[in-house]
Amino acid sequence: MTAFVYDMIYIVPVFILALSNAGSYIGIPEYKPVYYIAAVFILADCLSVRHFRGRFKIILPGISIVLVMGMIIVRESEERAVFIKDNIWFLWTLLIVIASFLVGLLVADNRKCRLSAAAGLLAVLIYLPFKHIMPDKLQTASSFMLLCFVAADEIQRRWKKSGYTDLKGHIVSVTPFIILLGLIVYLIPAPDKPYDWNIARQIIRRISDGIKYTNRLLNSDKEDYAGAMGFREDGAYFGDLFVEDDELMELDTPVSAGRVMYLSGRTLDDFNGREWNSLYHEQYKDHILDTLQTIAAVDMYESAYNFDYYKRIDLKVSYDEFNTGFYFVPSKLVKLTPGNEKEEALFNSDRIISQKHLGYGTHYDLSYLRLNDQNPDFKALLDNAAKPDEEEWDHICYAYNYKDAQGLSYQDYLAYVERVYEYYLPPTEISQKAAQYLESLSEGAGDKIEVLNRLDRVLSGFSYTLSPGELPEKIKTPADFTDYLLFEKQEGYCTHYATAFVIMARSMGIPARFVQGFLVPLTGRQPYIVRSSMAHAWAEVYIDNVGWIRYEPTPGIEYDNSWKFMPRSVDATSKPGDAGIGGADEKEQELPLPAIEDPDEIGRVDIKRIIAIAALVMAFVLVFIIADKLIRRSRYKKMGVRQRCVYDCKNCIGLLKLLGLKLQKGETLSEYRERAIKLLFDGDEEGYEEDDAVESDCLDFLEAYEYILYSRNAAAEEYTDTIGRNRAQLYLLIKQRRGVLYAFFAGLNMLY
Amino acid sequence: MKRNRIIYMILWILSLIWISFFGGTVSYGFFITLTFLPFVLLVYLLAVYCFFRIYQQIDNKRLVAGRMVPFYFTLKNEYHFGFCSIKVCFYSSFSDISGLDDDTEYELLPKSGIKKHTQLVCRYRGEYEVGIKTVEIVDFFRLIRIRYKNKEPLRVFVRPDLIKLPAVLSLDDSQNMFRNSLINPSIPDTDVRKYCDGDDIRMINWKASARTGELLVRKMIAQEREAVSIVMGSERFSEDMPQYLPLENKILELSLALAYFFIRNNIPLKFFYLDADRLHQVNVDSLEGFDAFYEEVASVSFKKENKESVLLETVCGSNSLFDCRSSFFVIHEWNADLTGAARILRENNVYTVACVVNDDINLKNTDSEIPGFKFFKIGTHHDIKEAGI
Repeated sequence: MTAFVYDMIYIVPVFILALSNAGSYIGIPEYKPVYYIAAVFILADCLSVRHFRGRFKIILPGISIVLVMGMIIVRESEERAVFIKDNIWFLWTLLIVIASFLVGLLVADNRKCRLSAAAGLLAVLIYLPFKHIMPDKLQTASSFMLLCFVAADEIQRRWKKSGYTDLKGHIVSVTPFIILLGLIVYLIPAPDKPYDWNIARQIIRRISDGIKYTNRLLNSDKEDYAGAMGFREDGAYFGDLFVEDDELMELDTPVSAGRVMYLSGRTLDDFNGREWNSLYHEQYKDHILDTLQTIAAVDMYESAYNFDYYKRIDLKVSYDEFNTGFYFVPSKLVKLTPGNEKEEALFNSDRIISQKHLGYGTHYDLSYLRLNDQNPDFKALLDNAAKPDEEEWDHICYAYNYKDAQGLSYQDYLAYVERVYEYYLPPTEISQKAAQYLESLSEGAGDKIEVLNRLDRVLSGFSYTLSPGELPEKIKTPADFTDYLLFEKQEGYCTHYATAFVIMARSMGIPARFVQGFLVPLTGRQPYIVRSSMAHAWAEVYIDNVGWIRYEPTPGIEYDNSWKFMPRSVDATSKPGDAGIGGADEKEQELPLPAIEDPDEIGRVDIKRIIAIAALVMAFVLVFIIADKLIRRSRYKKMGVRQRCVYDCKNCIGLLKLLGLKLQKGETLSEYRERAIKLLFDGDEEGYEEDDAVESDCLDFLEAYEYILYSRNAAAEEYTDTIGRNRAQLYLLIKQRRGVLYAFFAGLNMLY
Repeated sequence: MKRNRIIYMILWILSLIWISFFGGTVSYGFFITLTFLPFVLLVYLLAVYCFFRIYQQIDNKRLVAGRMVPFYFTLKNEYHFGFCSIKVCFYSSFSDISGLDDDTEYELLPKSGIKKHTQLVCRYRGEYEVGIKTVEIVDFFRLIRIRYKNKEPLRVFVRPDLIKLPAVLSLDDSQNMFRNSLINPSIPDTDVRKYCDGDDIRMINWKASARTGELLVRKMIAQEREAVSIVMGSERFSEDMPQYLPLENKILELSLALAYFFIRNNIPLKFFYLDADRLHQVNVDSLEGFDAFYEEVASVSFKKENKESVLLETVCGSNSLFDCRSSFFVIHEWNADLTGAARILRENNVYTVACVVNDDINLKNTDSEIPGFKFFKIGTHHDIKEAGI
């Protein structure tokens, strides 16, 4: 048993590897279990030949051969060739299994082969990932199990121990644990991608978060963002900008948030030529009013296709290395929900702030509208947006759960519009040169929006630099600044360009404002990190009935956040992105006609096939009997005298069994002999005749057997004749008392 | 084992690197195999721990210090898988196992066992554990080793050895005269007792023996006057077994050796020891009573409360010692109490011998300044026969 299991340890993995790799080349049947079952049967046949003794060696292979031959014979002669051709895979399987069996045996029996095979297997396993070839889990588990067995084998060989050490026994006895390991390898999922060490990163992140939190607690009175561009407290905006790169926030957004996101912190309305200030700083919900106005505009313009103009996006913002009182929000804010009740958002006209200081650990959820304002088709909305009436306004408020909300009524909206014009369109003068320049830009433009677009393109064509230097002292008014940038310096950073754009827009009679915040690229993996180096300024202009629209005049910032409008011929109720209806024309396939049976053939039994099968079985039995006898005869010849005597005695006991006298458990040979004499020759229950030719001395072999077994010095040769004579007598007795059939079975067991 | 562990760690680190660059069944399979290997090995070792059995046996229930007894132990695997490496370590502080090495590793195939026959020697008297102390098991990859204490240790009670002293030189010649004085024909032989091995044949009362049909010996009259006393200290001086066991063993050995000598030479004996603040006195007249005496002395409990100073004070105050010609003190500490006791005894004509069992090198054998008083120092590992008592 040990030898059997030991061989199996090495044969089975080789078998699995060979079978699973060869399967794709030999055309295995569609129903794959047939392939594996056949392979297992063939392997079982090989193992029985190797490990079973005597007649059992050939029983299993014999049965397999009979089955295969039977499956061929039962077919018509015309079908046989087709059958064989369709199942040629079986022949290949046979060859593969036998080859893997032999290889496995070689690996099991020969140490050098085993080590070479293990080294080769290891080399292949190392090579495969480089070639992006992935074996299946069963193959991998089998390979590693084989390597573990070889390793255990080698370790055991080098291990000096006392007492009886059996290498094969040792390996066999620890097999369950190595199989357990293989099972674990098989069951645990193996991703196709390399490990991203997310857990390790999370652990490191948590540790660093803890450190940062502690640091923040110790420095909680320091505010990073107080609304000053460049984080300079003196409010001077123009100079060389020192950019830090701290991680300030994290954003979690869905994919459809676009390529970049503008987070507004504060808007400013008053520029004195050197710096921006906020004169309009009152508690109004201008952010929400702006959003509702835009929604109303789209709803009135083309409500069925509102998804072409905006998408509602949910966003989660978490503060990291940040100390501030500001909430940073995208434009077109719909709703803001602080994570902490104590951090209630206070809406002001130019900013949203918190009563409580915000810092590390602050998080809030918001939803906003992502505008498709970069799409050329969006301009039509800008040109044709209508002013909402009160009914429309209430309808929009109701849809967005703002019905009866304070500060969001229709009257509030009307007042808001007035304030926009009051604060964001102050009297703005530019120089004549600038005016002429603006006029030249306006030539051929259809409307003011087109002019703004051209201005945006012009400013974007200038140079970007973080170190433009201080503003000259001569710059005292917005007009001076504009001339300085447009005609003299022509370089600067975002603040310069946003400022210039706002001034020019105002000079055209369009309300405009300066916005500070962050420009966050939405690339890579989430969460998106907002760094202090992403601080940015841009311009917004107010379009009547639509609301604030963003412009990006800073050079070097190019992106496309737009998406395509849906073709207007498609039903607007279908969701964007639906594929068209339809598919390939499918012709109905004609079913094959059922085979028409010859009525004369129905009901007739094919005698020939039955005779053929029976003959095959008989032939197998005959071959089996002959082979069994030959094998046993061969083994008998190799036995010593004593062994032969023992063998013959056991044979005689088998003959007694046929006479109905089985050796009982615990019964000695002497007791058995006495019982046999009593039953066979003293008139027993079976009613045997007393004038049999055979006498009770046919049981003398039992005495001899007992003597041979228990006496050390028994000369077995003395009993050879007795045993032989007894065997013949018992055979005769069987023939007389039990009949020919029993005699036949008795004859089968006898070698001569 | 160290080498295997190093190889394992290198492979594991390589597997970490591999999965960082390559996905798929091979790289992850390699990583999973190596990561879970220690857990599987721990499961294996746990199973070994649960199904490994030790059977220990000592033939002789009565163990005597210093004498070899046959010792058998069987290491048995009672489960269906093999145990790769079993190493057993023996108790060695107070006992020795002959012929076996602690470094031997055994392998046990399923349902098999190894039986070993050897000899065990307990060095000291006392109650302690002998045989297999710890078991060390190693997995089949030689990565993990677990050592644990034997769940069923063999606990024995070892009696002190009985040493046959050829002579006690410190006995004054006058102490030997008691033997001749006992043969006084003028004193009627009224008291007889059964003959014991070693009795002087001149003391056989033939008349009484013929009458009763068994050998009878005259009891010596006034023999109490000629008795010898042994005063044995039973104070425990340390809580540390390696310190107190040898000391107590030597005290008992010496006391028993002296007692055995006296009894063998027909010298009546009075034996004193302290237990639970009470002075115990055991009188032994002949070898007949020696076995019981031996059992009692072998079972004496040494306790911290049994102060030697209290013993000396009590025994000197009981006057029992003054009936003896000689008095042997077998104690641990040499101090003023002892010299005081010796003086008292000398004043009462009792010859005193102090045997101090002590390893202090500053203590030296000396004939003390007190006449009739002798001092001997014996180390805990010295041979009593060579002490020259």
